Amino acid sequence: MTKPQMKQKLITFITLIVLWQGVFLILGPQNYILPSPKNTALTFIKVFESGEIIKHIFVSLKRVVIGFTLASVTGVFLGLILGYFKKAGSYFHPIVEILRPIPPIAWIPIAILIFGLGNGSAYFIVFLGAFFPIFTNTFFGVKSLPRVYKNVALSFEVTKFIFFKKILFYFSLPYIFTGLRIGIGMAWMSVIAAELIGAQSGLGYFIQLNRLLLQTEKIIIGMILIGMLGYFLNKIISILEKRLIPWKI
Amino acid sequence: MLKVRNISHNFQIKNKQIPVLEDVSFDIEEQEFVSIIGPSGAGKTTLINILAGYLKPTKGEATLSSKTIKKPGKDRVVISQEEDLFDWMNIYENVKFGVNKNQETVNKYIELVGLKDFANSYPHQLSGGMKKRASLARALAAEPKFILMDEPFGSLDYQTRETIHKEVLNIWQKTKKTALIITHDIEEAIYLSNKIIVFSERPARIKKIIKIPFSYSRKNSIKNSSEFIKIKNEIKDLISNEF
Ligand SMILES: Nc1ncnc2c1ncn2[C@@H]1O[C@H](COP(=O)(O)OP(=O)(O)O)[C@@H](O)[C@H]1O
Ligand SMILES: [Mg+2]
Repeated sequence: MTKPQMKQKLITFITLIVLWQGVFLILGPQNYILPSPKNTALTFIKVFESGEIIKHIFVSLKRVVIGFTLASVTGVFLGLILGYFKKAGSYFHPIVEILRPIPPIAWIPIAILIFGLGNGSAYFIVFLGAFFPIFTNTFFGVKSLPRVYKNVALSFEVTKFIFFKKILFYFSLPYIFTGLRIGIGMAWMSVIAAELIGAQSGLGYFIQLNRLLLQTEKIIIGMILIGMLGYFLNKIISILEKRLIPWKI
Repeated sequence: MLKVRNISHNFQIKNKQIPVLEDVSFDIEEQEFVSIIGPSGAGKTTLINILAGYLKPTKGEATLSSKTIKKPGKDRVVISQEEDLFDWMNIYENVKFGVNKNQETVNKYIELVGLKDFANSYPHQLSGGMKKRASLARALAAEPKFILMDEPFGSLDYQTRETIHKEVLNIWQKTKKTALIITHDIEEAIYLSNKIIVFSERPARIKKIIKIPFSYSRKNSIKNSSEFIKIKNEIKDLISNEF
């Protein structure tokens, strides 16, 4: 980050805190809607000191990593195979088109019935949230392979394996990464949604629990952490993307 | 030797047959450099696709060294009208692609097209002319009997094209490949080839086959010779007769 960029970010941050304090003063110190920035900051330190939040953070991250990894592997694999083998693709694609518009939260009731409350349901919901963008982007990446690349492969008489490994996969990689970036965002939203309803740990559970306890500071802290961690997950994918796709500027 | 015998091709669009090539026959001897010139939309790329083996003609056949062309193969490499380098491979990897050649051979061809200093660059870091030269190196590295080029220099500016023409002549004297190049640049056709096939409008028929009398150590100055201008006018007349 350059110096002016740092300065801009700092100004935005300070303005937000000032606005927050302003709204707090208007609502009055006894309100249940918005705690003061100061109290929130103090509680923030407290939940980290006592360690109560750390467990929730790690549970949520673990669920995202496992669900997202499963979704990436199956999404990329199926996307490549079904994009390439047109026959198989045309059988499978209608199924995807019907399942895709169902939002991950709509799967929660059935997930709880099948997997019960807890990790199983969360993995499943995260998987569903991430799978469709990853699969769909990979699938269309493969489909958009230009004729001219296929022709070069034919001319040089390369094997199917080499074609997959050296041409199809790399050509699709930018599309795959678009899917992964959308997918990690979906995965993170899905895990929070799953925890709000179907789990007894994690950041989603943490904010839900504190609503019942009327601990507004903790709700806000939970939300800020969800925002920050979501940003951080997205950043990891972007950094990987830059590293692995040096041929795109 | 490439023999093209009575090739006709129709494309079917809905229920209509659209004739694109009509009874095209010609020969290309070993080490010849032949140009096909003709109006755009005539059917030139279609003929290249047939010779490459990407497309089966409706009628007729082409044979290379007495073997009928049925599918694509390493003995004929095509340099496409579009950009055909792999974006994700650097120039060295592109040239090495699909050929089981050692480092030395690959480098030899990269050097031959003047891209020695760019072996580690990605295609997006090169200019249009350099990319075409890299495609040429990749084609040469496969050491095919026959190279097919579909308007390879059409998208380049005049100056770059002149430089590339010189290089191409140079490379051809060194490698002695048989080549077929499609172009709509009359000067390019005369300057590079020893035989020019003039196509009619769609459906493409052969209007005339013209032998070029210049020796292979040509200089740019031949473009001002009366002989060159005479051939140029002849081709111009053949093409404009259409309208
Ligand atoms: N796959 C195709 N299906 C239908 N028509 C085609 C196809 N490819 C080319 N054509 C038509 O055939 C004609 C000749 O095309 P082409 O061989 O590309 O011409 P050019 O001489 O400009 O290279 C054009 O009218 C084009 O629209
Ligand atoms: Mg064409």
